[in-house]
Amino acid sequence: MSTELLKAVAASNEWWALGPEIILACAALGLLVLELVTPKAQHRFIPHAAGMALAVVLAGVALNFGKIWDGEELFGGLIRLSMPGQVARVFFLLSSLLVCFLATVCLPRARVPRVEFYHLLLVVTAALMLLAQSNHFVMFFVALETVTIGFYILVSYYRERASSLEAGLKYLVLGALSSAILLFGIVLLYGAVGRVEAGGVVHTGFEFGTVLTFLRENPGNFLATAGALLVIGGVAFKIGAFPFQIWVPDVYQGAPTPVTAFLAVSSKAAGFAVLLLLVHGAFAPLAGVLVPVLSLLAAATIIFGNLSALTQRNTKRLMGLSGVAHAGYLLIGVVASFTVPWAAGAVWFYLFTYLLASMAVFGVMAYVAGPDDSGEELDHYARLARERPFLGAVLAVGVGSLAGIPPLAGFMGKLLLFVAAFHAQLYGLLAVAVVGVVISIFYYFGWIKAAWFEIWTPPAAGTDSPARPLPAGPKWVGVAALALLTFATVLLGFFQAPLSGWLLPR
Amino acid sequence: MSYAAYLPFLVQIVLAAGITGGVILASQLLGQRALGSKIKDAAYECGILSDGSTHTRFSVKFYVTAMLFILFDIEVVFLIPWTFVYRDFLAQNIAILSPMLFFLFVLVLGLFYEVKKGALEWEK
Amino acid sequence: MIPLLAAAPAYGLPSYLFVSALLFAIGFFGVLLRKNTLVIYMCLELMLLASTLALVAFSKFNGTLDGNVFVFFILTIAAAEVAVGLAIIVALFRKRHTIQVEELNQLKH
Repeated sequence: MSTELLKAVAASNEWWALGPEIILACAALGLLVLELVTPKAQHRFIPHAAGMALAVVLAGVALNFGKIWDGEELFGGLIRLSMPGQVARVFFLLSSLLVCFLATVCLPRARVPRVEFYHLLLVVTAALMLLAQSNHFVMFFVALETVTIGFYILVSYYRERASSLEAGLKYLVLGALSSAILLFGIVLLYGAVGRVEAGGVVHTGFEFGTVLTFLRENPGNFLATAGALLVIGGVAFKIGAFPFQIWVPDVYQGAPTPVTAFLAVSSKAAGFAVLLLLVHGAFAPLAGVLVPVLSLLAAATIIFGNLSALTQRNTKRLMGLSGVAHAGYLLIGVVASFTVPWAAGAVWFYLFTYLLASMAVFGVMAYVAGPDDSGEELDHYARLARERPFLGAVLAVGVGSLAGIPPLAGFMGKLLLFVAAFHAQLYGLLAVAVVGVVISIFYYFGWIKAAWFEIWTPPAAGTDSPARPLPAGPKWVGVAALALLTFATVLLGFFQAPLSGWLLPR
Repeated sequence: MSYAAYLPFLVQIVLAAGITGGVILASQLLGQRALGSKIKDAAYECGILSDGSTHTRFSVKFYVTAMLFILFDIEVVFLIPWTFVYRDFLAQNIAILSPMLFFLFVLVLGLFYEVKKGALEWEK
Repeated sequence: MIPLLAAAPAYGLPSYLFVSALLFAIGFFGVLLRKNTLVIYMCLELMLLASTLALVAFSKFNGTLDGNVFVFFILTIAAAEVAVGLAIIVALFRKRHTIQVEELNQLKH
């Protein structure tokens, strides 16, 4: 490569365009420095510092939102700024801010170091944002692995508890397996594309654009098709689609509650951001292969997720398996987006409603779990509505939105996805999805019933253990956060314009 | 296919087998022999009977140090290509020094963090 | 010695890919079938290195250097994965005194 070419590449390094990610990474390092230089008694303010950093970056991205560089490639083609990338940035920052709030509720209960949690949270958030804007397989893989390795540590963060470590090990083994499969797919694509010279510049199969032209010019290339399918398989692990979902219930149950929320929302959204990026970018010419594969995945995921969630009594496993079902509905949106362009916006809309509802539910779970984090079963929710009416109301709205009850945001999200699927004439998938929604109402209502309606159980003879006292209610920050999430969920059910006008291009 | 290409490997295998075999044979022929006493055949410790298992446990601190070594060891791989292109890049006025300094700063910060957290203290 | 090595037989791309695919398959089935966590871990690394071998072979036969650069990144990622993974395994062993997968079944509904 000549030095003139390198100079041209260096000229495309627009560092300020990656400002949010760089600020977050520096803030993460800053947290470690703060921990080193301040006395231990003052470490309580570090979570607030992390939250502040996230909030400032979120405000910065929101203020500069209109200033997008549509389709501009930076850093020699590593990064491509785009509208979906900006949406993803906002999504991940908002989600991490809420995870930060959950962590301030949960972490003080366990005897673990706290600062590293927020450090990892910021690093993973920055990597998630880079992942959604990558335009090059090296960038893609490195960002994805930064996210994944960060999650290995976060899942096993309660190192005093064997269950957390076991969940971490399971996530590690299956996550590394999927990463290796994804890497092999990237290598096959690189090998299939080979050396492409255009205008004196050598391109390789690492660049999304080059892969796109190669696939368009060589339809039916076996090596490239196999590579693309392996990459899609690796991404399917992230979103917990059907054959790759075996890790979901165990890892969700063992991980600390804030990490479970982070996995459920951000990790899943990252999978869909990448999937949309790939199927509309590099792998677009493979639609003939991808549509049937993704349709099958979607149907199997919906059926499996809903049926296995039916029998769960543990709330974290319930959230995990119902999350698998949600991934199935979202996959329908991805399939629909091959023929109906606005379906990609519908997927993002659904993800935002899922973020609001899930975070509200996880917030309630964090409070109900109690001082030793053991209250995870449905039985622990008995008498919740009577003794803590606020938490009961938040739970009802959140779970109702996840189930898709009409006036709530979750209903509008599902409606948009299903209308998109209808326009794309995916009638079979639509039928499966409707059956799935009906099944999901059973287990979601079981949860609401446990919290709101008294069930008289005969006291077992001999074991008249005193009823488990309900934990203390949230402080004002918690009340404000949960009330905001609930309010947004209800509001989005009535007025979608602020979000949909922004996500759905006209 | 030319088998001559494998000659260096053959030479190495023959040398390795010859030297080790020779040493073992020499110790058998020339070395002193204990008179079939189990205690005297045992590896010499300090005159008293050896006690406990041969496979002593490593301190877990050893693993911590080994893991940290892997992490810092691999970073050098990025420094070597950097040195090769350093002059060319400078001649072309491409910023090359400051990114690498930032990279090293992050590494050094990590090292400080380890020291402060006591990950490098063996005896604790 | 140098002339001898220079006369090494030149293998084609398919040979390298065959070895790479073989290593990948060994690693993949090792992860699925073995019971010892550490052996599973080695198999995971084997899969990453199988990809690396294919990458270097493609890089050589395609005449592009990008693949070799990617190898550095893969090695770094593998090192980070090993460090985190071994830390988790050591911590779990201290808690449960086992690294056999069939005995790690605390998380069940």
